Amino acid sequence: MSFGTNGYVNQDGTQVSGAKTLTFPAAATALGSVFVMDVEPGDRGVLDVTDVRNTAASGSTAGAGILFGIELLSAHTTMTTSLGARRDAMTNGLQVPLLDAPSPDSGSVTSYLTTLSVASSTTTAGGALWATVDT
Amino acid sequence: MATATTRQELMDKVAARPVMAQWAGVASGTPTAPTATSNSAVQLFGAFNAIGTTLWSTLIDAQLPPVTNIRCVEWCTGSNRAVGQILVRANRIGTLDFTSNSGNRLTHDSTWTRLRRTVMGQANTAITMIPMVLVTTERRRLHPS
Repeated sequence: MSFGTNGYVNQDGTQVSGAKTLTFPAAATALGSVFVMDVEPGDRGVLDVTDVRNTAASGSTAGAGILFGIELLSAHTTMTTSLGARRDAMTNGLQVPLLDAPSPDSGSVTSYLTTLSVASSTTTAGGALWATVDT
Repeated sequence: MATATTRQELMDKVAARPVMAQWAGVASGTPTAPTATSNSAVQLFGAFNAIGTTLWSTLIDAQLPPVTNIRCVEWCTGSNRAVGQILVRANRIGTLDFTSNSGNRLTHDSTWTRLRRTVMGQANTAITMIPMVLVTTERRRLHPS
C-alpha cells in the first residue's frame, strides 16, 4: 500500500506523491492491527491525505480500515509490568498538551483520544492514568 | 473561570483542582503480530476505549471530565504494559477499502482539508500529523508477504 500519485499534503502545505510502500506482515492481516505509513524523506508528517493505493503486488482482495492522522500528546514509559512511570507534562516540554480535538477548517472531524504502543507478538491490553486540568 | 494565559497560572490551577482520568484500553481480537519481513513499517498497538462490544468497527473515545475551558494533561502515567506508550489524538481522515487494487482506496471524511489548533500561542495553526492505518475488517491479499 502507498500514498500514490496524488499522495498527501506535507507539513509545508505541498502536495507530495508517495513512493514509500507499506507491506502488511501476512497475507491475512487481522482487524485491530495498526501501522504507520511512511512519508517521503524530508517530510515529518501530513496536513491531509488525498490518495491511498493498493500496490499491484499486494493483490488486496478483502478488508477495510480507517486512516488516521495522529497527534502525539504525551509519552510515558513503563519499564516493567505494574511499575508506574510518570511524565510531568506541565513542566517538561515547550507546550502543555491539549486534550480536546482540533478544529477543522470546514465540516467536522471524528477524533479519538487513545494510547499507542509498539506492537509485539503478544498484544495485550494497555492503559494509562492521567491528570487533567481545566485551563 | 478565567482562562489561564501563563504556565504559572496553569500550575496554580493544578495545585488547586486537578482532575483525574483513568484510561483502560482493552484489546478486542488479536492483531496480527509484526514480522521482520514487513519492511520498515512501524506496527503499533492501538488501545482504543473498549466500552461496548463492537470494536474495531465502532471506536469509542476516552471519556474526559467536564470542564468549562480547554482541557490539558498535567501528567500521565502508565500502565500494565512494559513498553512505552503515547497518549495521542487519533483524528480520522477517512476510510480505506482493501477489496480492490484499482484507484484511490481512501474515502475522505466530510469536507475538511486542514485540522487546526492553537500551537505555541499561535491560533488556527494547521497541525502536522502522522498517518496511521487501523485494520477494521481483516485484510486479505493474493500474495503472502
